Amino acid sequence: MPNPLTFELVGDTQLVVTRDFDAPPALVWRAHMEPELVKKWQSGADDWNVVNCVIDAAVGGFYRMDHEGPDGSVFSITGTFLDLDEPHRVVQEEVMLMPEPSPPNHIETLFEAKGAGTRMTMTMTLPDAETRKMIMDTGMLDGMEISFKSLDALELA
Amino acid sequence: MESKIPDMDAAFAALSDPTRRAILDRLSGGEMTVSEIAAPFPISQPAISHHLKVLEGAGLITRRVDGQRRPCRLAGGTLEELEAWLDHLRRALTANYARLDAVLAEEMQKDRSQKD
Repeated sequence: MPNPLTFELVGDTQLVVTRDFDAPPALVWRAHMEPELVKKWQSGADDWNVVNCVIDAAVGGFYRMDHEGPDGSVFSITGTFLDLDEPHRVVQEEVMLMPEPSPPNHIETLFEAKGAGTRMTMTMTLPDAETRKMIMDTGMLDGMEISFKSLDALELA
Repeated sequence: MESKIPDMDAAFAALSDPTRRAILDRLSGGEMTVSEIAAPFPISQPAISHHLKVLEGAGLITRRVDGQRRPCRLAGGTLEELEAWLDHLRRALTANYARLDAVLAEEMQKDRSQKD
């Protein structure tokens, strides 16, 4: 069974997500910052894929992930790192291109050692209603869900 | 948060009519097209359309364009919409991080075999 995800609304605009991983913070950090690793878990096995991933893990550095769907539709997640403290904390400002740019979302992520593993705490500002609708309309979240089905197949293999 | 009922007088006027109250009751089950709404009423579809216009003007329902159709739904469902969106996001993140687990396990395996 995968570790549970907790999901907590704070005020009207903030969402705090926590998730434990069975790997040390240094590795969880790498999996968020190295394009080859990011591509693996941000891609759905055969339907949605990250076709391009560039990450400059430095303060002021830029990142971009282009996701391509089965019908050829594309959306991109882009952003800038406002603060990095490897492997403990990263603060980023994210803009989604669908292809119209969304208002920027502020995301702070903490990776804390917990036993032999890591507790991740991600605090993000919720997009406004219009942006949420745009995200739904692109099928972007559906694309992320597809990867779950492929994971089940992976574990059975 | 901005109020979805811009004019309370218009809302109360709209609610004063029993047919319009019955329409709102039908829409509590979810989005419907004009002909679906009109089905149980002994009045014409244009008359129903007029009632829908009044309800929309009062901010009690919203309509969207879907090809030739303009389905209606209750307004003020902002909270429900947010919850539906969050539910979607939760499932998407659950899927994403389950996949990250697999990547982490693979990398740990690589590290171990390098040490051996």
